[in-house]
Amino acid sequence: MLDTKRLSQIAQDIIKKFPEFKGVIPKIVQKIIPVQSQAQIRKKLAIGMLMQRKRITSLRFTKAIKTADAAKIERYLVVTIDEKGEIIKITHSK
Amino acid sequence: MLILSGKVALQKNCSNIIAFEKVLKVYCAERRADYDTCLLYYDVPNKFKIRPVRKSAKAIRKFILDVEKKWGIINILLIIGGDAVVPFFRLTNPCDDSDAWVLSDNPYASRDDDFLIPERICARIPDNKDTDFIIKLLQKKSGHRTRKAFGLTARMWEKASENVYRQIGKVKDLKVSPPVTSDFIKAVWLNDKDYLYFNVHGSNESANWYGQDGDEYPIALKPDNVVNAGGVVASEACYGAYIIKKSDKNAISLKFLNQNDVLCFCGSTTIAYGPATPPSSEADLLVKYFFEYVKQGVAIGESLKNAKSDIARKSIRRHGFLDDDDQKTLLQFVLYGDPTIRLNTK
Repeated sequence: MLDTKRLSQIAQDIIKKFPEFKGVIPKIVQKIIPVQSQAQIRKKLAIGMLMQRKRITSLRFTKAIKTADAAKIERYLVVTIDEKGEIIKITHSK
Repeated sequence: MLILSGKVALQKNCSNIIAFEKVLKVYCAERRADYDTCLLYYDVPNKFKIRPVRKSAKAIRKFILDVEKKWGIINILLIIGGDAVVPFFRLTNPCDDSDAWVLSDNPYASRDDDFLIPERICARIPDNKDTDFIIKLLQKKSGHRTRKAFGLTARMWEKASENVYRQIGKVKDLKVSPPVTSDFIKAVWLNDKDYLYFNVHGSNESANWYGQDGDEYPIALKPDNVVNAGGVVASEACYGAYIIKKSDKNAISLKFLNQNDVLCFCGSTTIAYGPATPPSSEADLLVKYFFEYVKQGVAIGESLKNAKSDIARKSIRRHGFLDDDDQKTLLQFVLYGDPTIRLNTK
């Protein structure tokens, strides 16, 4: 598992960047992507096998908001982190 | 090309399918030089003597595979009708969000059980409970070039949207919401364009699309704003292509399709994902590649199929795997319109 201190730092940096998620505690999910993962897709796309398994951690921030006409939208912000603690990508729901 | 519908369900949803069948005969005749076409109803006896099936996505998919065994390889599938005629597949949601399912046409386009990378071109002409609507979409012609585009983005995603929009238009012309809101949308902005691009929020509770700046979510576009629009429309809005129990009065996608000069609508049936800033990924990347192929004169059906393969390849090369958001993007984006239509390159 990634160091909780590192995860906490990332979470704080994300909230600084996207203050609309201030006060939201993210859900932490850890995954191991095995070498044989998605083999059929790789074959279809003529891409070789994964060289080594990957460990990723995602922080999932969720917040319900209301639009100008009072429609409810669930906003999601997902931060995907590699095993070295580096952010791979930051994704928003639309 | 297989044109597939359900006769009983279509008769129930729309009036006068005789007029639709007459137009379909002309449609097939016009395409005879390029495509071997066949219209089949899954729920009545057919020339291949394949047993009719009930209105279930799984059964209809099996029907298509059986047709392929008897007729030959089906490269293009055109579905006529909305969810009440040919149901969307309800697939397991790979993402941890509030969508119970991902509504998808990918399984109809897939020969194997891997639905992420479809082998066939697949598009759908929704019925809007109106045969005239279906006829209108079947009679649309490949468009002449105006070389103009329109784009509308939430302010939050301005930089990300610029990365997509520069394929089709000048970045300085991209409209940003806020300050642009639905009260200030001019009909002329949507007229006479090759491309209409939207990177805004959508909701399953409302017909409107929204901009964003911080905690502010103004209405960016309403169905009433869509007047005399023209071009290839692609939207990244959540639920942008959600049409179940909807009409052109309360679904922007159907309102666009009902415009004479709109060629097609490409959008998401459920909650969609994308980056706040470049590089493009998920929905941004899919729409970017889609527009690139359309711009090269590739037919719209093939453009979306190619775009899906390309984003899968890109994501795997970048990160080594397709994550949850990537998978959902591949499943949820659908194409409404005639898949054989293209923007002429001249």
